[in-house]
Amino acid sequence: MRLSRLLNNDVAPLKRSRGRLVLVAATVSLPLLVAVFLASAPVSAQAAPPVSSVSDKIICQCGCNAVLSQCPHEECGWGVPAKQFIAQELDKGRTPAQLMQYYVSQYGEKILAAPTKRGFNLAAWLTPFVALIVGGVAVYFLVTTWTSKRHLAREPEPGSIEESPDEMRPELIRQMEDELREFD
Amino acid sequence: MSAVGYTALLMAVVISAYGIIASLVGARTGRRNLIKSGENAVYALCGVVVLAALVLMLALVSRDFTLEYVAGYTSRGLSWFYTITAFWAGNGGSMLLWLTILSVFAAIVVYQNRRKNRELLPYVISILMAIALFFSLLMTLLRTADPFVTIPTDAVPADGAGLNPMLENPGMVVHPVTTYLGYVGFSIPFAFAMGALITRRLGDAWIRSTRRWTLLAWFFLTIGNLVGAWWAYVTLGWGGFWGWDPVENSSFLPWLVGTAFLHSVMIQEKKDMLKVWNVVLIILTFVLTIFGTFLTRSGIISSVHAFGEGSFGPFFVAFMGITLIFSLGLLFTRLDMLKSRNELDGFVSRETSFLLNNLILVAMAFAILWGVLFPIISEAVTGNKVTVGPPFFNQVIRPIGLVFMLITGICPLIAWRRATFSNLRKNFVYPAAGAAVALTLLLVFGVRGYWALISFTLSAFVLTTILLEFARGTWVRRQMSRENIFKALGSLLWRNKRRYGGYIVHAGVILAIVGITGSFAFKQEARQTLTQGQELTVGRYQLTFDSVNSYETSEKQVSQASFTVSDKGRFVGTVSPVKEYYPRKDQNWTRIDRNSNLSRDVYVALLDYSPDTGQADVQVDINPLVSWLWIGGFVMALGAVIAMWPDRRESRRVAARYERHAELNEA
Repeated sequence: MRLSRLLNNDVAPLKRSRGRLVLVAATVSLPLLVAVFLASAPVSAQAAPPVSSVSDKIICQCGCNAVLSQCPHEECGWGVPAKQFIAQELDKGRTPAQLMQYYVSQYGEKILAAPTKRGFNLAAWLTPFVALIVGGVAVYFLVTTWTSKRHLAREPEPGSIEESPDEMRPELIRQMEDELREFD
Repeated sequence: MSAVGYTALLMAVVISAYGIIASLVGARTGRRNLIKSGENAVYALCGVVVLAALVLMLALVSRDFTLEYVAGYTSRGLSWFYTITAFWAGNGGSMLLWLTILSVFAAIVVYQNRRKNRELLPYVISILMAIALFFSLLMTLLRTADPFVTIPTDAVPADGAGLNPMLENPGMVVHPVTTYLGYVGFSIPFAFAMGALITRRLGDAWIRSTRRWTLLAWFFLTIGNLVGAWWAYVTLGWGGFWGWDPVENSSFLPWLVGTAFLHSVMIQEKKDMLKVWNVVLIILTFVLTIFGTFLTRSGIISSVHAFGEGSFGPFFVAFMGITLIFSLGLLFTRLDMLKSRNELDGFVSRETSFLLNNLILVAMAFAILWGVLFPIISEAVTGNKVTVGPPFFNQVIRPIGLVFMLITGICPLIAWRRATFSNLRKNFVYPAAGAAVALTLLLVFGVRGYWALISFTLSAFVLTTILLEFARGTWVRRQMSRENIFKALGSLLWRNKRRYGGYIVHAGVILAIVGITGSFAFKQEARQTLTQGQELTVGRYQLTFDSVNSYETSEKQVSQASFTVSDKGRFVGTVSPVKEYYPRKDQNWTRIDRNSNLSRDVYVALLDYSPDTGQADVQVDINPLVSWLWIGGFVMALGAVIAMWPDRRESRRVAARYERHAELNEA
């Protein structure tokens, strides 16, 4: 029984000190390593926003149809001066939002690399999440239905197995056998 | 020589058409000789297609400029290594690569199934041959992607135009082949699924027979996508590896749906459920592989990854339409036979977490497809064409992706069938503690950024979960067999390749996400014109312009600059980015260089160099943690290899499980 519970992710039998030590060591050492390593990497926020905070959000006007930061033309007549202008303005303290407004005022909304969040364009932003929610509701109802079918199919037993203190109940035996088969 | 290649392709058309008819008629009438003939047709197809591929390769290697394809994509100065790349540089070669892989895979399938799945096989063959017929027609009678078009004798050039410099990178030797191996690999489970629907043999044979094929396809597509990202990173010079370009998206879509399929079939295996859903997923995966090929090769979209300008767009659209109508129609007529018992023991169970995993993966695929198609929808509805680029995908996919990470971590913590509250509490306490420790330390060490903190914390949660799975399993094995810790770990992995291989894949995914998060959230960049001796500072790094070496080859003019990289004044290395000019193509090209370690890349692109003024225009990006994306990719590939490694014990377990399902269904 102890083996099946172990294999079934039940940590209770690991109360023995060595088992617990393994778990605690695994729990603490890995996040510690991850955190210390990540913190040692250059992952703290920088003073001025990078050029990409704007160049990732507007389309290069050279005709390449790519976002400005990914324009494949290294000597792009529109893109290179635009990136220099963005860098200068960010250094002067203008925010990415202000620069975005500037470009929209100059070129219209067609310069934006993503649809605005109003009118029909809202459909672009909302549809994926609506689909996800509808899917989530569908999964909820499916699982509820499938679970209740299982319970209805089960014959009522006096002193049902859920209440039985007997550790060797049939369901657990079956589970143990399955898990053992999985494991070995 | 071209006549041999073209004739071989014409024979491929005839043989694949014959293979379809022979297999179908043989299966319908029960004539064994016809069925056998259909199987032989697959071997014959493989022979003629491989011959055509060899002819094209020989023409490329021998610089036979009488072929338009060779003249268009090679030149005398092109190295033999990149001559291989020229094979798939254009549409004709790409289509031939697709067909070659398909015909080899089909031959392997026929050989593998010579003594099993006999009722299914003729239909599997006819589906595979139908796909082969489509691709061979594109290269021959439809005249849209013929790699063997010749140039009139009096117009044969003395030298070819050469290869696009973007393709002169080792990544381009690997990326197209592995991507196509992945794409074509998914044709096999698709063909078996269709075979199962046609023959009404809707048990689990088709899934059991194709499990390893599906894993193989997923493995190659994973490598294809990662190498594609690596190629973009080291080649395109903009400092990133993923730009949500339509072509990138189109190869990510089948990966997402294929991943959902891989997980979903486990539920069919364990619980004999989701039969309809699994067929839908494999149909979608297959159609998306065709969509990916179409988008890359049709030239209908402007993309740095799109290398074709074919006129075969309408044929691809028609093929995708016919495939969808045929396969979904067939599925509709078999719905009654695909009814499952559909029973779950408990609401909170690993089965439910698999369903959620499927939901998230398919939702991500839907969101990306929606983003790709929205400009067309918007134009049709409002008349305005909008752009849907990186800001949209980053904002939409990021939250869904974080939920996906959470599910990845939670899934192994929940028991199969039914989890009790105490079971959940016990299993969650250590990973949750691990995540809390990581979050606290990250905050203490000054890491900031809402999304990044969530992503790193979830990464710690998932990695702790996986580590605990290994620790617990190893500990149990030690208790059982008194082995030392390394032997116990080894036997744990070896005796449960599928399960622990899967966990290794998950660990790889998380490592890759750590790399993606770091490089997206904390990227630093600068662009400046420097003269020799001048210094540019980006974050805590300094770049000093040391010297330039300029020279010419038969193909190009090269300027290679040398920079010293320092970290707060401490020397860390040198980088030598290159600027190239190809006079024949009048094309400039940049080859970046990096100083790379596990915590960051200092990525340097020489955008311009003027010998007159001695000035170098330099773009520098500091990309934190980006190496972990590539390491994660390697770990994913390793896990996939372990999971699909042949395992008789596992095969017996799965077979016994299916037998139990069959007995239960009969009862």
